[in-house]
Amino acid sequence: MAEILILDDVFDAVVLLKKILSRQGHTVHTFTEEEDAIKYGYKHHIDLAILDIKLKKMSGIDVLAELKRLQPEMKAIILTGYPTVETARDALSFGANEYCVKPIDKKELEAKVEKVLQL
Amino acid sequence: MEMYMLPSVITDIIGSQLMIVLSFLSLRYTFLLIRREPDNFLWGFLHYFCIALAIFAISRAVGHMVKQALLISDQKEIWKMISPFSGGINTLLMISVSAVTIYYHKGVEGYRAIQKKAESLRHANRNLEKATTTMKEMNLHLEEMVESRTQDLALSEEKFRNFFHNSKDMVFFIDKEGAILDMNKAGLEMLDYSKEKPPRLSLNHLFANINDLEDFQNTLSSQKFVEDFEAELIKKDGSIIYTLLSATGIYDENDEYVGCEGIAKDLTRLKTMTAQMISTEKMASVGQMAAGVAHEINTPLGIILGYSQLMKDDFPENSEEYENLVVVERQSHACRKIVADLLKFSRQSGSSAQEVNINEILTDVIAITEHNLHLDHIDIEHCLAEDLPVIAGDEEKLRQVFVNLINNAQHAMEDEGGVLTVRTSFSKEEQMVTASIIDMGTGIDEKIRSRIFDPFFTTKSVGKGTGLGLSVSYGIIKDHNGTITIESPVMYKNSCQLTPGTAMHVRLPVLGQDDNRESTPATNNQLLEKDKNG
Repeated sequence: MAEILILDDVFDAVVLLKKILSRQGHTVHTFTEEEDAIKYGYKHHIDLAILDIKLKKMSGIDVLAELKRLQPEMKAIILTGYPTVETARDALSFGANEYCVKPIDKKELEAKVEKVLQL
Repeated sequence: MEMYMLPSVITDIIGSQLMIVLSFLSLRYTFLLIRREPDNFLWGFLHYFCIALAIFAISRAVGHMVKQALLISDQKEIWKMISPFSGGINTLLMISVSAVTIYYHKGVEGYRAIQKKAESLRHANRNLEKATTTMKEMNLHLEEMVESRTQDLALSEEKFRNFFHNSKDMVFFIDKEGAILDMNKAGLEMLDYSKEKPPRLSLNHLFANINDLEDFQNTLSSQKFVEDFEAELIKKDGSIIYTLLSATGIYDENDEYVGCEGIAKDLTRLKTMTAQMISTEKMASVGQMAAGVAHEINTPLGIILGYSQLMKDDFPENSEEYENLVVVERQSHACRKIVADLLKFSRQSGSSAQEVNINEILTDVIAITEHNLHLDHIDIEHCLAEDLPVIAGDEEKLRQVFVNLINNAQHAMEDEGGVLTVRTSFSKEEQMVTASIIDMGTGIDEKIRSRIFDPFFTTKSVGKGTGLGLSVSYGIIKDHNGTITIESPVMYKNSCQLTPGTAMHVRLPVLGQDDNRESTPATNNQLLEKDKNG
């Protein structure tokens, strides 16, 4: 199963995502600090990163760009509560495979994760 | 007769004749003089003197010539006989001449007195003339003054009459009973009485609010004037206009109140505009607040939803826990929909602008909703204008607006059924496309009309509507630089009768043929700009 990195500034949100995806059999690594997530990316292989756009210091898209630089094969799903044309365009141009609007449905999330991992 | 006497005799005869000639010449001259100046006393005196002198000359000369003739003819006896008569006549005439001469100074005095009188009379006359002239002048001046004053008065009156007639505000005069004595055209028009003969109006009938009338009258009697008094007046058809009244009391010489004069300004338009502005501001602030709240709620809501879905997996499908979690999930979904609607209302979610044909959108929407409408026995009548110009907009959002409007129309007609009319038209002058959704439902009460675009305002029963449909539609149409207006009751079809239904008119600006290429990216940029800010 896949190695999945989850980054969101809300702790409960990352735990929820971890629980959902763990049940699918994935290995999930959760982070609420963007630096920790990037540090993790330096040392460990990641199949899929699920990133929130609104973080504490950086934008999720910047984190995506950095992780993609480190691991170009990595897949990514961008989550946001503030969907805009601009962030959607940026996310896709920096290599995100999906752009999802929060709150995301469990089934929708599972389906999207499967879809992205099969790419 | 002795010869030595001859020269003296000749001299006597010739002298006597000369005396007569000369005295008559004198008489003639004095006659000419008095003819020239009959009133001249001196000439008159001289004339009479000359008459006396002439008679004396005749008497004396004829006497002397008779004497000489008698003496020469030796008839001394006859001469002796008549000489006393001649002498007597001469003496009498001499006396009369003397008398005339003696009374000359009296005459002169009299004449002088008369002259003096005459002079004083002339003087008086002159004074009188002078006075008359002055009087005449004064009279003339007075006439001029009166004329000038009359002209001033006429000008002033015309000025005030013009003011009265041409004033765009109501100008009126009221007697002490409150009956309107006079009101200008603008005032009558304001009250809709302009086309017919104005009836006898009274303040008591004009004031919509009896308390206002009392306040007005109390202020007028205590202050003698009323300034900027807000009053609702009743028009002829019974509708209300909002006015700003100013009035001044009129008092007679005994300081008794006899009435008042006043001006009223129609504030209805201003009031409506202010209400609209307040409403717009309210919508904007509610929108901002809603957006903030929506974003804050979104994250925890997502977590609640996620956990309920996660937990569902832990229980068998028929267990009570599972059923409970289904409820939590369903309600979380309901919340999510509200949040999404709020975000749409506050125009924070993304928009795209492309060329949109309103007819196509309406056809799509009708196709989706038709089945549902038929279930409520509602027929749809299309009346879509051909060659409707395209507009710039977000097709998806506009579709949502029309779905909302048709849902509301359906809701209004769900009990009775009827015909739902969907009509489009294009105004070339205004370059606006109008889409109207017209129902035959219960109509919208005047009282709630101002609130129907407010978020969370709904007339639907709990669970049937969130009260966000029209708010979101309002936000979307405003974002497209358009307007939504309500018409209720509505002039249904071509019959001129008002029916209780409601027409919702959505007006959107046309994408011009010439500025087509320019305005589309501009609109896009604007929308992107909003997205950034959002």
